[in-house]
Amino acid sequence: HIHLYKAAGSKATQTDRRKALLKAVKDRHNASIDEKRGITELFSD
Amino acid sequence: VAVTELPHRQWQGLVSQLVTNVVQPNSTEMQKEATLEAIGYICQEIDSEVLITQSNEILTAIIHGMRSTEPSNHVRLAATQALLNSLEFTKANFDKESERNFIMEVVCEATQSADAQIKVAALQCLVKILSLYYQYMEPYMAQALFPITLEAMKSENDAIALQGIEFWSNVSDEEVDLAIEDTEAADAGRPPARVSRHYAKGALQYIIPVLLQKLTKQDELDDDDDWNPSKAAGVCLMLLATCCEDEIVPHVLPFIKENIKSENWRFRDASLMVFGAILGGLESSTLKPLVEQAMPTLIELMYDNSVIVRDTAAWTFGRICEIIPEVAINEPFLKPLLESFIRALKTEPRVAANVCWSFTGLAEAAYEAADISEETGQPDTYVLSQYFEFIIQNLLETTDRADGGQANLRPAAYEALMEMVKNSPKDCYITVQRTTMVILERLQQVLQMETQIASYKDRSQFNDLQSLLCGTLQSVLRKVTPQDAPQISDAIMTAMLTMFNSNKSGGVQEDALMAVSTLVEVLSEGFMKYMEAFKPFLYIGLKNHQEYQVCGTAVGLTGDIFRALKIKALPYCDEIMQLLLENLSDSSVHRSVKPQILTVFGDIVLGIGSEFKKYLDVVLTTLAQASQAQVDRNDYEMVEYLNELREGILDAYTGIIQGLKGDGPTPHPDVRMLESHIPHLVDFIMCIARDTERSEGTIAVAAGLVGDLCAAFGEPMLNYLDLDPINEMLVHGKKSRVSRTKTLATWATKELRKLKNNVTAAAAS
Repeated sequence: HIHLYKAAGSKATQTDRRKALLKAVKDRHNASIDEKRGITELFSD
Repeated sequence: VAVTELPHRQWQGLVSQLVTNVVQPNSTEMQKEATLEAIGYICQEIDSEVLITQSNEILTAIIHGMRSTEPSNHVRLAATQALLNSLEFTKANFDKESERNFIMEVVCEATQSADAQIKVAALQCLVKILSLYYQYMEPYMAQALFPITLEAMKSENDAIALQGIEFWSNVSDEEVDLAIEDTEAADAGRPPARVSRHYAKGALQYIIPVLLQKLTKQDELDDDDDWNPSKAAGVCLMLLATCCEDEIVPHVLPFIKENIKSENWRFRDASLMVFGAILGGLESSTLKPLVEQAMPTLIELMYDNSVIVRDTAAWTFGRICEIIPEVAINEPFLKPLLESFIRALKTEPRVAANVCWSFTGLAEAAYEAADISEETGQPDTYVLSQYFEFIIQNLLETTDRADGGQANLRPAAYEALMEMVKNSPKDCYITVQRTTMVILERLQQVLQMETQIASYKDRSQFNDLQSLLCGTLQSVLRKVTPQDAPQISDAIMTAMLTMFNSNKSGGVQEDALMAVSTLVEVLSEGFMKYMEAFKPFLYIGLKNHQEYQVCGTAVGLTGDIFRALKIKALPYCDEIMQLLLENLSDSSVHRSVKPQILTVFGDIVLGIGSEFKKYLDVVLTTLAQASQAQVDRNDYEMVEYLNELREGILDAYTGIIQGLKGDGPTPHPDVRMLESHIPHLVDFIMCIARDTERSEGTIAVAAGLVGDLCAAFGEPMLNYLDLDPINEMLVHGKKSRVSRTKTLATWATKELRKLKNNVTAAAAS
């Protein structure tokens, strides 16, 4: 449990950016597909 | 040698020989100790499956060495440490009550040894037994485990106290997991496989006073790497709060109130630590008034004489800004809080780093609380607007601090900067523009420093800085308007190309690729002018099999490029398709990249439409092969991977159908090229529909494909798709909590219904 001590969530790690990028790429892919289907609702999850 | 040979069924007599060494009466003390150490090392290193069949023999030797009648402490210690390493494969022994009772008796007895090392090792065993065999602990808890660990927590010997505290941290962890399992089971309408006995709640009144006392024993010359009972107590309280929620409050509130203004810094700090630790577990209705009431005192503590207290205060604000930021962004606290933050940014790195973290939460909360303008889709202004420029200025100065290498300060400051920019409203745009220029200038300066790097340490810092600047560039670029983007894109691309040329670090390349990804998103077709200069670096990324994350980022960027450039990307398509197909068939490419490649096939065909026909055969063959993939169902990670792979395959099929079908009112004839593959495609959807371990994401994409097949091929699809497993999957999807799954399942159901109605109408007429 050592890592939890005063764990300032502030670690601007590449892992976080990588995760965010992968999600963003996937979101953009899904958005373009759904737009073609005529489903324009925003997916917020 | 044993670890190498035993898995291959070699050296079969080894375990028996080791056991004989320990149990035969004429073995010497040294022989027994050395043998038990060897058993311990083997158990530690070997795959636990290998020793399952010999667990009885091994346990016999270990328990023999651990008995209280064993005269040598050396032997007892070696045996206890060996037990710790063998607990994972002795499940069969724990499953039998008589054997379990015996093991527990011997371990509990060992915790009472006068030898501190044996005591610590035995307590470590209890900690691990609790995590592995929680469901069997009921008969031992009140009688033995509770008094033994409570006593251990109180010990003046730090190593013993740490194990006592660790035991209760593990109880909390375990019971939090059980609570989650319980909720999941209730949602699914089934009884949970295991139930919580709520030991943590029952023990609160006894263990919290001990933890509070331990909290006040802080190490004055704190070193990040030192683990001591005071820190362990803080973490244990945090976990207990998550587990017991509001029930913890009456046990800790008197201590907080009594000590938060104590003359003694140790008590002020302990009080703050408890306050910060419990925030994560409380119900909002309990939490909000508690934090509101404490705000003035907490702000005061940001100016404390003791750096340890200021550090804990800043950490507590980090927690508040993450857990209940609405209190922090409200008047009358916001202004004095920001003043304390700005001042603290200039103090010790550990305090400043926690303040940076606080800004991250504050920015997000302020943005979420603001009113979104319907016209722009973002807020015109927000509660931090009047302070925005000043905060950014101070964060930029913090990133430049000479001591930014300590306490993760520089990355923390850059991250705060990224979050402030990402969550900025329209009226802060001028500052965003200025920040973009500052970041770009810094990037150019850093690139010029390349020749001055002398040491490994310099190189590492140089790389980190480039990565952080690329990261910040991504967040500023996302805010830049489409009108402004082309004005700065040349300078950005020049810097990126210089970086690709000069820095071969995978980490830096990856961050630079991510920054380019954002630029593609912002510029859209305008990115075309950089393609010739950029393509060598994209290809290098796609070929980087060793650093698979670089390869994955390059794959993602490829998808972005095709979505942005569409048919204009055609000149690069042959080379890119070749690289992607090579990556798919290359076993040295990390498996995580492969589903992404399949998804990108979908992006490519959407981008280039009918031009994709020349790749169709090879891609469909690849997809058919990939859709046959099976994994070990006992391996959770592999099941997860199978779902990712299937999502990728479905993404590719979806892209192919949509891309070939075109955007016209009637499907383009090219889509018929897929007709012969439809039976296989439907088999694949059926396979997913029948799979009880399919993910919500897979259901979404499978449902989407069902809808696409209906739209592209019309009524004949009813025979293929109107089947029970598929309908059941769609019904399940419509009830999903994941909104995309729900929407796509609903959409697909409607598409199927449309076809049915058409058939009925045709029959009626």
